[in-house]
Amino acid sequence: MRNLLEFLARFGSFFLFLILEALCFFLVIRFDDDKNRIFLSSSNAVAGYMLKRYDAVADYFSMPEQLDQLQQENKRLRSQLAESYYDTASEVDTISNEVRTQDSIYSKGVVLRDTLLPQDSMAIQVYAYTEANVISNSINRRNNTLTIDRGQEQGITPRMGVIGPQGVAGIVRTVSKHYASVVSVLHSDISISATVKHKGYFGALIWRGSYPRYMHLEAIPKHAEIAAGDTIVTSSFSGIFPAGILIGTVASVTQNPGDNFHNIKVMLTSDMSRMGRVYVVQNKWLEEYKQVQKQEEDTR
Amino acid sequence: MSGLVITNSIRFLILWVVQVLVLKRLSPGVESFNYIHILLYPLFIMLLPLRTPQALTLALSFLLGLMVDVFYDSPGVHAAASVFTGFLRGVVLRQMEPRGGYNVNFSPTKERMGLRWFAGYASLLMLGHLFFYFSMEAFTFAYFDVTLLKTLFSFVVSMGFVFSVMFVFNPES
Repeated sequence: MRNLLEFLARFGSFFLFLILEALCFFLVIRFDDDKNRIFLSSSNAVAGYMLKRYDAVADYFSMPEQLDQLQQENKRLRSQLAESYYDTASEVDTISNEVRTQDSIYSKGVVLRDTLLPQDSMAIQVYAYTEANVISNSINRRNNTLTIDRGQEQGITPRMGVIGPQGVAGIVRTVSKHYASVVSVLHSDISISATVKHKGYFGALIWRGSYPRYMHLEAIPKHAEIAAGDTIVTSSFSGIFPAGILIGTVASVTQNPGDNFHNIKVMLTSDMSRMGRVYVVQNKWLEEYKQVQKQEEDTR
Repeated sequence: MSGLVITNSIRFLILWVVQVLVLKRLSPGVESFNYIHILLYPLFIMLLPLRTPQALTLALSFLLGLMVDVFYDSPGVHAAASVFTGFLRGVVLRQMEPRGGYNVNFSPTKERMGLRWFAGYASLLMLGHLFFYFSMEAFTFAYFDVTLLKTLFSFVVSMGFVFSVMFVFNPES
C-alpha cells in the first residue's frame, strides 16, 4: 500500500497527463458522433450568445462590404426576372435538339421558363430559404466552421445547405435552440456534389486544405472535355442544395499519369473570409427523396 | 494565497475571452498564406505560480483548452495541446532551475526571472504548444512540412503578442 502511494506521488501527474491526452484524442476522433457534439461546439447556447454580442459590434466595420455583396446578388437575381427577357419561346421550338444544349437562346429560354413557373398554379415550392447572420467564421484552419444565429426554433436541422450571396458556403452540422454550427466548404469532411454547367459532368467537390480560395472537383473522367473558365454549379443529387447554385469556375485542369480522372482546381466565387449574411436552404421533400433512395438500395 | 487564486482566475478568463473573441477573428487575411494562428492563451499556463501542483496545472490546462475548443469547433485539439504544454512546463522548469532554486511563491514572470530566462522559457513552451496543436489539427504526419511552417510563422507572431503583454502589463505574480 505504501509502495503504491509512493508510486502515485511520483508518477501520478504523468498518468494524469496520459489520461487527459487520451480523453482529448477520444474527443477529436469521436467528434463525428451527432449526439455528443452539440455541447462542445460553438452552437451551444453560451458560446452562441457571446459570439452574437461580439459580432454585433464587429459587424459595423464590414457593413459597406456586405451591402455591396447584397447589391451584387440582387443585380444577378433581377437580371433573371421574367421581365428582363424577350420571349423567344417560338424561336426555341424550331431549333433542333443538338443546338439546344449549347445555344444561349435556349439557356435563356430555360431561365425564362423557370422564372415563370412559380406563377403557375402547378408549381410547388420544394426548397425554402431562411436568412441568417454569420456570427463566427474561420478560413485558416484545416477544418473550418461557421456559426450562424438561427437554430431549431427557426426550423434549422442538421444537413441543411448554407449559401452566401455569391455561392455555396457550407452544410449545417449541429443545431441548438437558437444557433447552428456549419461545416464550411473549407473543411476536410465536406463533399458537395457538383456539375459542370451546360456540360453535365458531375463529381464531388472537396477541399484539400492550404488555399481558402480553391477546391478540387474529383471523379470527373479523363474523356470529359473540361477547360479553364467553365462554371461549376451544384447538382441536386445530394438533396441538400437545389441544382444550379453557383460554386465557382475551373481554374486549371491537369492530368496525373496513371489516373483515370482529371485533377480539376476550382476557384470559389464566394470569398469565405467575408461571409456576413447567408441563407439556409431547406429541402421540403428531403425525407421522401431519401426514402426512395433507400428503397432502391433495399431492393438490390 | 487567495490573492494568487484571484489573479490567476482573472488571467484565465481574460486570456480565454481575448483568444476566442478577438484573436480567433484576427486571422491575417492573405488568401494563399494561411500559416499564421495567433495563440495567446498558453500564457496562462506559463504564468501559473511555481508551486502549483503538477496535477492542478494539467487540470487547468485541460479546462482552458476545452473552453477554447468550444469556440474553435474543434473538441480536443486545443485541449490536447494545452495538456501537453502543462506537462512540458514541469519538465522545462526542472531543466531551467536557476542556481539556488526558485522562490516558489511567485509566478515565473519576466519581472521576477529576468528577460533572458523568461524568453527561453516562454519560447520552449510556445513551440511545444504550437507544434502539438498543428499536429493534432492535421491529425496525420503526411502534411509535416505544412505543420512545421505553420508552427514557425505562428510562433513568431504569437510570441510577439506574449512579449507585448509582458511589457505592457509587466505582471509581478
